[in-house]
Order: sequence, then structure tokens, then C-alpha cells
Amino acid sequence: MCWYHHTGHGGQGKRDKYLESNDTPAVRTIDLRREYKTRGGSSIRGQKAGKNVVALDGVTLDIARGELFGLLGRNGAGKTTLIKILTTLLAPTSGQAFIDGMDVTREVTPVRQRIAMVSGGEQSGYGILTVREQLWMFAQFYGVSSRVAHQRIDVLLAAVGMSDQANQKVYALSTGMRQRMNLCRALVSDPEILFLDEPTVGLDVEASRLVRDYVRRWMSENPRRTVLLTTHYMFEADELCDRVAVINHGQLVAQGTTNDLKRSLQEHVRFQLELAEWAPAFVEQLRLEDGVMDAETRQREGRTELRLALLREEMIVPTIATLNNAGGRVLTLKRIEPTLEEAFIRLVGDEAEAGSEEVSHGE
Amino acid sequence: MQAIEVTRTKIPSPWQTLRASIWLEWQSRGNWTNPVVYTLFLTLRPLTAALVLVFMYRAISGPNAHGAALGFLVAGSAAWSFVEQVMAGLPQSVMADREEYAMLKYVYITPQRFILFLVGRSVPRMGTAAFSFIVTLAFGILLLGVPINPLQVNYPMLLGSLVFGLIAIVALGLAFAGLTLVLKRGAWQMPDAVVGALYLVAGAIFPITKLPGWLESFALFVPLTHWLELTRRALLGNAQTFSYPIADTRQVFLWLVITTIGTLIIGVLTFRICEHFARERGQLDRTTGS
Repeated sequence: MCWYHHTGHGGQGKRDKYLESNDTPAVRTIDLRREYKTRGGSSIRGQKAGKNVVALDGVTLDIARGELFGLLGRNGAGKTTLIKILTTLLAPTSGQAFIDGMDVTREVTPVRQRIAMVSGGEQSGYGILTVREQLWMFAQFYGVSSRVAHQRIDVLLAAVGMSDQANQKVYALSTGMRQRMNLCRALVSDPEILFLDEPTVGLDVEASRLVRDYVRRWMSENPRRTVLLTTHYMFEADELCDRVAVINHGQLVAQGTTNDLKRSLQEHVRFQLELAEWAPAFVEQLRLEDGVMDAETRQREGRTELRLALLREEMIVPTIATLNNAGGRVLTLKRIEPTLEEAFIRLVGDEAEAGSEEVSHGE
Repeated sequence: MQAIEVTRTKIPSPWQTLRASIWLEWQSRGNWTNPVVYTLFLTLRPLTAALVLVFMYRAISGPNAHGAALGFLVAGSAAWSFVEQVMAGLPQSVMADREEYAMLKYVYITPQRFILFLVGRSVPRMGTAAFSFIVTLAFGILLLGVPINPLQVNYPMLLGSLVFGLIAIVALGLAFAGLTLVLKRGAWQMPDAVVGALYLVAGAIFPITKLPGWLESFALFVPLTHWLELTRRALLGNAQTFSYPIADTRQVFLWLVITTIGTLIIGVLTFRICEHFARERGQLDRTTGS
């Protein structure tokens, strides 16, 4: 398993200060394992019915207070199972999980006081209630007084652009609106730790962006707040998360900042250069240069694009000098960063997703 | 943008949980149509059930039909609406929350007491059952000649037995709500099946002395049997009572209290055990599509 150092690049000053002053992580799991027994005629993940299916296999993880932590993995990798355990919906088979230092299996009520959850891709909601009624009801379940609840509801609905829908019945809401309402439902109790399980699945571009923007804003309002986000969308994790972990077949295979993750899996440092003119001698000479692992060119819109793979970053300086000596003139130079998606695929392989199935029930 | 006020989430008071869950159930039950249609629905169902029994009895007994038996049938049928609506309603609420609204998991992970949430869900059902009970009795008195004199009803006994009866009904409802959490298929049918079985055993429409001996003995351990008997004695008076193995009303009340306490313990324990297994097996947020 690859472990990458946490650099905490995304936090603001006050958040960083808060992180330093608190030792108890918001979320901690120690060797967490969850097995499901399969029954009936169907098989899960290719394992025969009647056998144990391992959904989580020795997951050890710390999420610091104030972090926006992403959990990436294919369908059936174990992301939802981990969230279910942390939110007290599911008991682990072995290992331990803590929320703010409290055991999720033994200190259920204090854990529940600190958490809330939103799942994507479902049409949840009491359709017969209005948006405001539903939010008020959940505020009651979290011990929030009606006065404070109504204040929060107004603020939250305004923030997600739903003030006009406050008195609309939930059944009449579109999928995107319903998901915004669900986000408000989770936030009406002002949780310390928010679990977002693929919150933008099935949403259009505008609704997804609104959800992401609001999550970011919500985090920035209070350094105590922590988010665990699972997502299939790599750009979402890249945009939002301070750190990410990759889970595959129930095991954490990597964790760190997105930049660490991308760079550590990059074999060579890649650059893209735009040249004023082109001669075959450029590439021939570059390939003779020490540390140049690959060089390729292509003509694009009347210009020449040169892509280089170097052993180390600092080798770009002698390489450009070689080019200049050969008569080449560099117009632009940029370093090509690998995408999180490339890093993800390198970590978990390129197995067909159709073959894996989310293990969510003990059937 | 205005920042929201930050306060540490508290454990909700029992009243907050009860108020919100009572209100949710009331909205769920009454909000699907207008009040007139809802009232008609509440009235027609128990009335037709009582009328079916009365006409069956008259068809069989012919000229021998008498008021006491009619009173037995109407009172039992009217009171049974509590069992139908409250006991069968609790597992139905759990199923609807999990399968239809997909909200059970979100309610479950709140810091409120889930069992109190379910008790709250039963309260509006008690109200609608009470309405059906009164309408059915009024219909029986005014149109069928059931021998109930509202001025001679033993109201303390009626209310006292109702309190214990409702505790027993809710406890049974909790047990079946718990079973609903762990049952896979057919959970929708389970409440109706259980209510049907109790209808036979608890003396709702005929005296338990007509049951085979072993089943009569079993019926004595079901609190609903004693609750129905006390309800009849309160409404019709002892003179109108059909055969019952216990003559002394105080003894019947004692049986009701003891069996209710036993049912409450069993109901809560069953719910807790089922809840534990549902969490172990990951069934709290399962949707079966059934």
C-alpha cells in the first residue's frame, strides 16, 4: 500500500491552526473489516452465494478535524460500507471506528450528535411534507429549537437557491432540488462531521456545482467542520478535497493530497513545448541527451508541439539549451500534470466496472 | 452571505421527538386527500366491517338474533380498529420509511430515541382509531339497536382498559416493526397476517370459550383478549356479557395489567434484538422493491 505524506494544502490559516491544536482525529478507523454473508442464487463480485464477501478489509484511516477528505473507489470498492459503519447504520465485523474519539458501536448517541449524512442517486424524502416542514422535523430530531431551526432553514434554503421552494411539497421537486434539500436536511443540525456519499450523482452541471460550492463555503465558515466525501468524479475530488484515499476491493491502496497522489504515480516528469519552427534534428539530438526518456512531436494548427518525458524536473534546463543549440526556438513551455483520473486508474487497474457490484446488503 | 449560528447538537427531548413524529404520521395519513374524503375513509371502513358481521349474524340466527350478541359483535368490531390501525400501522410505517420514502436511515442516525419516534408515529393512528370506534358504536346504537346506553357506560373502566390495551397494542406493534427490519420479503403482508390471527384468538367477534381448549388457554395470555372483554363490560354491562372464563371484572383487569406488562417487555426486547440484527446485517437501509 502506498502512503503519502499529508501536506494539508487546502486549509485556511485559522483552519490550519485549529488542526495543529487538536490531536483527536474527527474520524479514525483501525483495522476495520466488514464481511457480508451472501445467500440465495445470486453471486456478488463473482463470489459464490453462501460465502462471505469482504466489503472492507483492514481499513486504517485518520481524518483530521477541519479536513475535507475524499474517498475514491469503483462501485463495490467499499466506500458506502465505510460510511454506513461510521454513521452507525452498520456494525463492523471486526476492528474499530471512532468519531471524535467515540466508538461508533458503543457510544452511538454521542456519535450521532456530531454527524449527518447525504447520499446521492436516490429519491429520498417524505413527499407529503413541504421542504420547510421536512427540515424542521429533522431539526427536532437533533434537539434544535424551533426558533433556531427556522432561522437555519431560511439561511440554508437561501444559500442553495431554494427560498422559493420552501413551501413546496417534496414530491414536486426535481432530482436536483431534492438533493439540495437533502443537503440542507443534513446541515440543519450543524453537524461537526458530514458524510457525503456521492452527493452529485445524477445531478446536472449547475446543481452539482451548487452543491460543491456550498460544501466548500460551509467548510470555510467553521474550522471544526469535517467532511468525508465519496465520489466517482475525479475532478470533484481534485477540486474539493484536502486529502484523498483510494479504496479498492475493501482495502485502502493510497492516501495523500491529490497532488502527491498524482505526482508519485508519475514515472517521468512531462513537459509540453511549443516551437516556432520544426526540424527532425531536434528530436534526434534530444534523444541523445541524458535524462530525456522520450520526445515526440506533432503539428497542430500550423505550430509544432513537442512533448518531453524527463527523468527529473531540473533536466528541462539543459534540454532547452540543447534545443537552442540545434536552432530550435521555444515559444511556450508548460509542465504536464497527470490527472487524478490517471493516477486512480494506475492504482486500481482498468478492470471493467460491470464486473463489480456494490455490496450493500447482507443478502 | 449570513453564517448560520453554531451550537453543539443536543439530544432531543422526548417531547421534541414525539411532537415531530406525531406530526409526521398525521401528515402522512391525512395529507393525501382533502379532509372530507379522509373522514369518509375513516368512517366507512370500520362501519362496513361491523355491518358485514351483523348481517352475517342475522342471516345465521334469524329470529333468534338478540341484542346482547349484537352488542358483542359491534363492540368487538369497533374496538378492533385500534389493533388494525395501531398495531398493524407501526410495521407499515417502518416499511414505508425504508422502502417508499428511503428516509429510515436518515431518521435512524439522528440522536433521538428511535423507539420513541415509532411510539410517536402510533399516536395519530390511535386518534383515527378512536374516531372509528366512536362512529361505529354510534351507528350500532342508533341504527342497529345495540343495547348500549351512553349514560350507563362505565367510563373509568373503559378508559382504564383502553390505556392498558393501547400499551399492549403499541408493544406488539413495536415487536412487529422490529421484525419488519429483519424480514426480507413479504414484510408488507406480515402485519395483516398477524392481525388476522389475533382476530381469531382474542375474542373479537366470538367468545374465546368457543375456541379449542389449548387455544383458549393461549388466548388468556394475550392482553387484547382481556382488553376487549373489559371494553364490552364497560359498554354493555356485566349482564350482557357472553361466556368468559373469568367472571370477576377485577380479575380480568389484573390479567390485563399482567399480560400487558409481559407484552411490553417482550415487545421492546424483540424490537431491540431485531434492531441489533438489522444493524449487524446491514438491513436498516435496504430497499427490496417489494
